Amino acid sequence: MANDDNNDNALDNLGMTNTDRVFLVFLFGVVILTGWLGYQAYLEGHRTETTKESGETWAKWLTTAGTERFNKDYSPSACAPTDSTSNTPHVWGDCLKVITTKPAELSNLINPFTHEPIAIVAACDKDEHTTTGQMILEKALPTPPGSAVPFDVTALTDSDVIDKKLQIHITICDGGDYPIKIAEVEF
Amino acid sequence: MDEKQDDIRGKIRGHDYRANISTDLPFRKWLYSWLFDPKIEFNYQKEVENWIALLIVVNLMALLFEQVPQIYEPHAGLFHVFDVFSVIVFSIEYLTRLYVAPEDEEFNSDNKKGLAYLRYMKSPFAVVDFLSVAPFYLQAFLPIDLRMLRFLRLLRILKIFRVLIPAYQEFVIANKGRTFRQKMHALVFPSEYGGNLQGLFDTFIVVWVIISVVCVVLESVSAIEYILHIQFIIVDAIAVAIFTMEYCMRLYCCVEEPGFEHAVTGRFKQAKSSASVIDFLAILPFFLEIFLHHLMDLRFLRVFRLMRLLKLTRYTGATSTLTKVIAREMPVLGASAFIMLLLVILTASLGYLFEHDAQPEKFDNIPQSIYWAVITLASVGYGDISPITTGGRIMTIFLALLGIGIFAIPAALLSSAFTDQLRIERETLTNALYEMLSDGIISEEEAEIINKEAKRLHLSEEDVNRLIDKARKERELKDDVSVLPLHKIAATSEHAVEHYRVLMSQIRMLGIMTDREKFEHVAVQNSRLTPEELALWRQIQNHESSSASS
Repeated sequence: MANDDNNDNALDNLGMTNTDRVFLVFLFGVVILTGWLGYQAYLEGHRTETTKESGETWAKWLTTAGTERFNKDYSPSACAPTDSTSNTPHVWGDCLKVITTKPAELSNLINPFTHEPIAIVAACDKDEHTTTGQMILEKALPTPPGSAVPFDVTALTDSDVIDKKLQIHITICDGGDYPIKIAEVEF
Repeated sequence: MDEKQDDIRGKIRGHDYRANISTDLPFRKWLYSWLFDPKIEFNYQKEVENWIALLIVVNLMALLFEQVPQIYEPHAGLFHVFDVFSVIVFSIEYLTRLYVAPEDEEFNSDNKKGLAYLRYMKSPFAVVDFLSVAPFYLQAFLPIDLRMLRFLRLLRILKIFRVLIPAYQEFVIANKGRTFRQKMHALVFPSEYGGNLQGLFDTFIVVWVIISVVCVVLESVSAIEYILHIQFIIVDAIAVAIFTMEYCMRLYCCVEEPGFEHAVTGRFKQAKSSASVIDFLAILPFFLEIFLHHLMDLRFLRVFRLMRLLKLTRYTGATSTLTKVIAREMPVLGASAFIMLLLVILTASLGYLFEHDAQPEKFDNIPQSIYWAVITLASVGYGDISPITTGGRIMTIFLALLGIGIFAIPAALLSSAFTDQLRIERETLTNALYEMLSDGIISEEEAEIINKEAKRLHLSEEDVNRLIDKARKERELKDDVSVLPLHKIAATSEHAVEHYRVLMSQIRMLGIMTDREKFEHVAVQNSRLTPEELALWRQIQNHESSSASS
């Protein structure tokens, strides 16, 4: 009984009514909800970060390959310039197939939004949201002297010949299918 | 009278007032009084605490940025310099507090200097102060893991309790016996119960508004956004959680605010207020983007997070003054806008008329010419579109000159109205002073009100004293009925009776001093006075003679 009185006194000191308690519960709920929503935003941000890391891995690989692939006996040979004895020129499509097929290093990269291997797309699709977490590879070709822009940037297609050095722009599509530029590398 | 004036002036302090601490005091006492004594008003104690608190916050931010290698690695030297600077400041603070400890009653209750130092060093605040700098010095002698060192540096945040705990204790005492909602109201809204804790709450919100807005601005820099993407998401979530809590708390306890007492209509009124609408808009983009992102692309809403900056309007009187000015001048501004609109349409039409044939691609139609008209009349003159015909150029000369005058009207209006509003507010303070001086003295409460107004209007002590003098002179003039115009005398019955008494006395004096026979002769001869006026004169003079003879 004495304890009850003490508790009542303690509550009186706090000056809390039932409405106050309901409000505190509501406020706690609001904080939990905001925290949960913030966590969801964080998770999506984290997925974007993972995609960016994949893009950086691509950039690193392409940069390294860009310095080594002109050496003799470069492997994978599909990514090397066309051999003088060969009749068919080496194209990007063959190189891409080799480097994205297991056990190649880049084949392990997973799209964190779909949990499937990262695909190369032509552009980020904000309307249909079909390209979330995917990657865009574009080639930058120098324009003729006197042009308004120094480079003409177009999608790198499977049929593009890779005999010469290529300027490649790497972009990823984030959680909202907005493009994020990762790097410009020389391949 | 002089003593009374001195008493009044002693209570009034302008925004630039400083405590009057004697230089004859021993150095240690003098230093303590200026820098650390919380009992002396208008010394530098609050400033010292605020600057230390700011340094703590910046330290915390530096600690967070150190976790981002892309930021830390290129600027490691700068981070180290800042760390050394912080440690020097905190060390000076610690040593100064230690030096002045014997002057603090808390540590020197028995006048033993040695014990005072020891008691200070053992006090929780001093231990925290020591721990905040100790790891820096310790690393010179002992190899400490960098992560451990960073963790130990986090202890600097505990220094914030030096400000927080006294404010909390003051708040608890001021709100003893009050309900939970009243306490919440005291914390969230400015009131006599809020004290320093309410000020700290406001500062906390202001700091988060600034952090949040800076993050939104930096997000637009793709190089920074690339590096700090996750950090921006975390900061935004925390800011939204804080602002949402603040919004809910304000809405819940606003019923304690005068004029908002009703449980439903009071809260509805609060929700409709401009400050609440701004608070709501500050958090809305976050929730909309999360809940509706699958329906439509709402990323554009992110830019509206900059609206959080408007939350700061709650903490400055200048915005309310500007709002009042705009509201007051709205009809004139409307008229000015109408004239501007007419001029723009006229200029665009004439531009189209003169230039369409010569430059059909630039002056294709009147709506297209409106852009050129506005750019010309507002004296911006980008130069991307310009008249080339002689007629067009002559017309542009006249209209551009006209535009300078017309487009300047709103700016001039607002400027003069703003000055006028400040004058009105100062006059309001003068009127308040006039009323306060009715009993010849200014009470503590009245002095408090004047000091708050002086602070709000940025008046110096000299300005306030000038206003007091003005109010006093007006008050003295009010007491001297003879100098008041008749309509002002007539407005107050007491003044009217007093004035009548003075006039009667003057008529009596006139009767004594003048030759009565000659007076009556002139008055009757030239019909200068009516019979009633003459009868009244005789009655007054006879009454005067009879009372003199008796």
